[in-house]
This record gives sequence, C-alpha cells and structure tokens, in this order.
Amino acid sequence: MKEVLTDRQGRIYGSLLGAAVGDSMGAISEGFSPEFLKQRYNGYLTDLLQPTDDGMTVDSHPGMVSDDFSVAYYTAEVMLENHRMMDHDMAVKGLLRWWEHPEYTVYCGPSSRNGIMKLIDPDKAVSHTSNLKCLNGLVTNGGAMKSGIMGVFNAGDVDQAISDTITMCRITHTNAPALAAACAVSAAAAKAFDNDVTYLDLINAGIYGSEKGYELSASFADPVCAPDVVSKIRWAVEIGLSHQDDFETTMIELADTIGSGLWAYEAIPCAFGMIAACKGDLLKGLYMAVNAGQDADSTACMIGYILGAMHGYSVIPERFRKLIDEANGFDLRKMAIEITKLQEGVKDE
Amino acid sequence: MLYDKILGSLLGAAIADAMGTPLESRPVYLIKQDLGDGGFVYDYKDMPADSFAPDMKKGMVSDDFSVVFASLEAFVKHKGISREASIEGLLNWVHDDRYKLYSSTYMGPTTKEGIQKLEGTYVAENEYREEMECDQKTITNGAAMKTWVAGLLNPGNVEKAIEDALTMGVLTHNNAIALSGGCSVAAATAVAMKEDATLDEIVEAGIYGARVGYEKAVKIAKDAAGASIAKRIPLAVKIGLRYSNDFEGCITEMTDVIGTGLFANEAVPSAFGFMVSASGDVMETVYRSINAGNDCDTTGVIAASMAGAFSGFSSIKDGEKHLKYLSEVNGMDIEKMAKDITELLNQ
Repeated sequence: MKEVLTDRQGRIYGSLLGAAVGDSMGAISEGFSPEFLKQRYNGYLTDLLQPTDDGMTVDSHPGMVSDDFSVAYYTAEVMLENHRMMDHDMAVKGLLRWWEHPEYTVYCGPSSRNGIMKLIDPDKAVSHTSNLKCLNGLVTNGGAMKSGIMGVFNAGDVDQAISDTITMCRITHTNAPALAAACAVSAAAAKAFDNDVTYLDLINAGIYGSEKGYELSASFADPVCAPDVVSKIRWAVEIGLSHQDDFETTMIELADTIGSGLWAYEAIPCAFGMIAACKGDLLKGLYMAVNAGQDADSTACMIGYILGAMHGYSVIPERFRKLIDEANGFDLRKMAIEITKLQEGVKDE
Repeated sequence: MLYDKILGSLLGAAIADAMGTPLESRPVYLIKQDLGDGGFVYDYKDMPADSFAPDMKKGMVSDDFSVVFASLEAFVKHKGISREASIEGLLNWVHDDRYKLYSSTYMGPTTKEGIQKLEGTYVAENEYREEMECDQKTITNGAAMKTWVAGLLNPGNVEKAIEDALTMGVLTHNNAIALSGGCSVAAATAVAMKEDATLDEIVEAGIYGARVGYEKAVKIAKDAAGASIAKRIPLAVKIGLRYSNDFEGCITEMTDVIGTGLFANEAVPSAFGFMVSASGDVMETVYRSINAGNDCDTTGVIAASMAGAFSGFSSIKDGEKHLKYLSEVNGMDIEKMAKDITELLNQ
C-alpha cells in the first residue's frame, strides 16, 4: 500500500508530472504550425501518442520526454542524492549527469550545448571561439525550460526560487533575457504552492520574477539584443485575458503575434498568455501550448510546472502518470516525496 | 519620375546597409556606447573589431545590397525576373570576383544552404532535419532582404511582384514564413513605385503580400511554425505611429516588443514600423532602423528600399554625395544600374 501523499507532496508530484506530460506531448507537435496539427490530428492533439517521423523527435515513443524535463530531472536526482539544495556544484553535476543520456541530449539547444562545452571541451564553446561582442543566437528558452524545478524545490519561496534559478541557469544561459525568462517560470511555479493561489497571482509572480531576473543578472550578464521579456509577458497576458472563452482564437493570436518559439522572449511570454487564456486550467493550458506548435514542448513544460503545482497530480489522467514513468524509467511520485523530505530536512538544519 | 524612384530605392538600401553593418548585432545601448560617442549614429562608421567582419572598410555594404546588385545585373541581362536569372544572379554573387568578398564574408546560414543545394554540394548536418515537415531554423530574413527588387521591377503590379518574389526567394529560403516576408516587402515596394503612392497603401500591400505570400508559399516550400508576419506588421505600424515624433521611444518600443533580429517575423514587421514612423522619409527611416541594432542592416535595407521607392532619390538630402561615395567604395555603379532598370521597364 502506497503512503498517502500530503497536500504539498501531491502538488510537487503534480508539478513534476505536469511538466513531463507537457514536454512529452509537445515533443510530438513541436515545429509544426497549428493549422497543420489540426489537420493531422483531426482536431486538437490531447494525448501522448507515438511521435511521427517528420517531426523533431528522434527515436522516441509515447510518454517519452525530451531535453526540457530530462535536464531538470537529472539535476533533481543529483540534488536528492547529495541531500543538497541548489548551488553551483549541483548545477554542474546535474548538467553532466544529463549529458550521459543521449536519448535526451539529442535535443540539446545552442545555449545548453555552449554551457556544457565550456565545462568539458572549451574549444567547442561558441562563446569562447566567436569574436562577436553579442551572441544574439543564445537568447533561448533553455533556462526557462528547466527552471520550473527550482520553483518545486523552493515551493512557496519565490525569492529563493529566483536566486536558485540564476545559480542553476547561468552556466548555460549567460544573458539577461534568458535568465529573466527562467526566473519568471520558477517564481510562478514557487508561488503556485501557496494555498488559495489564483492564476492572476501566478502571472504577477512571473512578472516579478522576470524583473528580478534582469536585476540580479545585470552585474554579470553578457550583452545581447532581444525584445524585453517583461513587456512581452504583459502583452501576452493582455491577449490571453481578452479572449478567455475562445480557445482557438487565443491560441492562434498568441502563436502568431507573441510567438512560442525557441526564444526566451517568445515561449515564456506565450506560456503566461496561455495561463491567462485558460484561467489557470492545467490540461487546457497544456493542450493550448501543444497545439500552438512552434517550441510546443518547452512552452507546455513550463505551463505544466506552474499549473501542476497549483492543482496537484489528481487533475492529470492516471494513464499519463503511468506512461511517463514507464517510458522514461522515472518514479516521479517517489521523487516528489524525496523533495519534500529534503525541504523539511533543510528547514530543520 | 520612374528613374527617381528606382535610384531612390537602390540608394536608400545601399545607405542603410553600409551605415547599418558596423552597428549590426549590438543592442541600442552598446551602439551608443561603442559607436555613437554616447548618442545615436547618423553616419558611416568603421567596422568594430568585435563584429562579423572587422576587416571590411567603412562605407562597404554587406550581403544584403551586394546580392541584390548581382541579381539585378542578371535581371537586366535577362530582361526580367525568372528562375534562371535568379540562379545566375546568386551564383555570380558567390563566384564573381566583384562580389566574392561580400558573399564569402557575410552569407547567412539559410542562403548558404540554398546555394549549396543549387550547386549540388550540400551535405546534411543531420538527416532528421531533411525529413522534417516544417522547419523553424530557416525563418530568416534573407529572402526579404533581396526580394524588394521584385517590387522595384513591377511598379504597381502587386500580384506579379509576389510571384517574382517567390521565384527569387524559394531558391534559398524553403520556408513559408521567410517567403511570406519576401512577398510582403515585394508587394509593398511595387505599390511604393506608383507615382501617386501613399504610405497607407504601401502598408496595406505589405500585409496583403505577407498573407497571400504565405498561402502561396506553403504550396511550394516547407511550412514553418512561427509568428505571423501579416499579424505582426499592424503591431509594428501601431508602434511606429505612436512614436513618430519620438526617435528614441520608437526604437525602444520596437526592439522591446517586435524585435529586429535575424528572423523574418522580426525584421520585416519592424521595417514597416520604422518606415511609417519616419513618414517614409529615406534618411529618417535609415537612422531609426540602424540604431535599433541587432540585424539592423537588413531591417534598414528593407525599410529604406521601400521608403526610397516611395520618396525618390531627389528627396534624399545629400543624395549625390551618398551615391558617389557608396558607388566608389563598393565598386558598384548604382546610377548606371538605375538607368538600366528604367530602360528595361520602359521597353
């Protein structure tokens, strides 16, 4: 007989699962346009299906996650083994543990690759070989795709989540917009553990997180050109709130104007717009991100952390819970319990 | 009149490219700090050491204008835009000694892949990407940076401009959104070439071109998942109108919200926004576009080619000086090219 989960444990499990389901479902639709997806799936994609051969997945099967959730998972694993909260050492070891899993690192984006190369083979790091002052191609969402896990480890503590996010992500993402976007997600995820939290609270936390992210990274960040993450979150939320009862219109409007691509100033603002559009409903939020295409798995993964923490695991179909663990060799329920134990242990020390 | 518009468009593009290239890839505050002595930049600058091409000389254009110039030579020779002429122009740009320096220094990733495919030398970096139904990596602005000449060669003929933009663009950009951007700029330039053109009509044609161009492009190229140019142009124009009397505000808002990066769905909408904010004045369009940084030479070329076609050479302050300077530094007879095109169109 499994032990009954406490409210906190159930929400942590929900957050991990939400992120994993979003990643896995979005990996099927990533890179396709919404119109194409609608035709192919004869409506919306709402299931963990076998990925098609003409998409972004590589040798994948139903329920398998991609880089987004896996990099956070292995970082969490390292932290739990060492019984330590986030610090530079944990961030490095987490990345290197992940690097041992080619089935997931095959999806590695440009900034994560650069960060890992700096650690293991600096001659292959773009940031070491380019003479350019600004590497604008590195303003990516790969910090934000994994930072939700810092909201989980710091459930309820928004400022600590932000600070740990910077520690975790600055190895791979060294520019301010990428870090601000990462802090937006972790701040909202941490906030989502509050009792009686509303989706507008989550949006406020996201905006607060991104503003703080810019502030905290100003002293060390590399200069880049990029749209402003805070302005774009506000704009996306405005769109989301404007057509709340019209799923299709909001989805298309957000994908077409904000964009939900690889960039820190697209996928993250879009995720908050979708949270507003779906009034904080987890499954609706995931489906919207998945069916908007573009960088669907990252966008859905972020929404999953935030809204999964808000609602807990029970809103996620049992079939998904099983499939995620089976397909990836995870035990997310156990991980959730261990995370709460680490949190309690840290509090006692 | 026609000649004045053609020369205005060519010169506007050349000025934006030459002035914008040293500023490229920097954000606004670093443009001010590193190149503008604390303020904005209104002149040709030396190439900074930490830029794409530190060895290029002041006043030199980059890939944008040089590929257009090489293509125009082919279009004049073949009396119009065709697939053959477009290929000839592209390959001359790569192999002709007059253009080699530009193409080898600046060629963007998507254009490079396209040319390698034309020449049969392309080797796939990974097989998976070839099989992908949609492609996000090639939503770049390299089609739009050159297809404005499809508008230049089809004054007032929006539909033909769109067709010709697709013919030119698809050689290098097998991507519906990139081509939508190319068609948008071509359609807008075609309207700007009309004697009685208004800015309203130009913007309307740009939105129309982006929409229709996308619909046509998905039939001949890979689809793409990305933000829509047709939907972003109105937003950029709204920003342009709101900040028409506020140079700095216009640039800040445009870069914060729309972006001026390598992607067609950033550079193209922003170009329309800057042109509108400058009321179509060529030099003001150039200054606003280039000081926005990021891929600002391309944003500038797109914006200023439309503005130049709209306002004409005679409206450009010190136009003769710019013309002489840029023609000399780059070894390109821009005036003769404008005459050749005029003659072609009058035939």
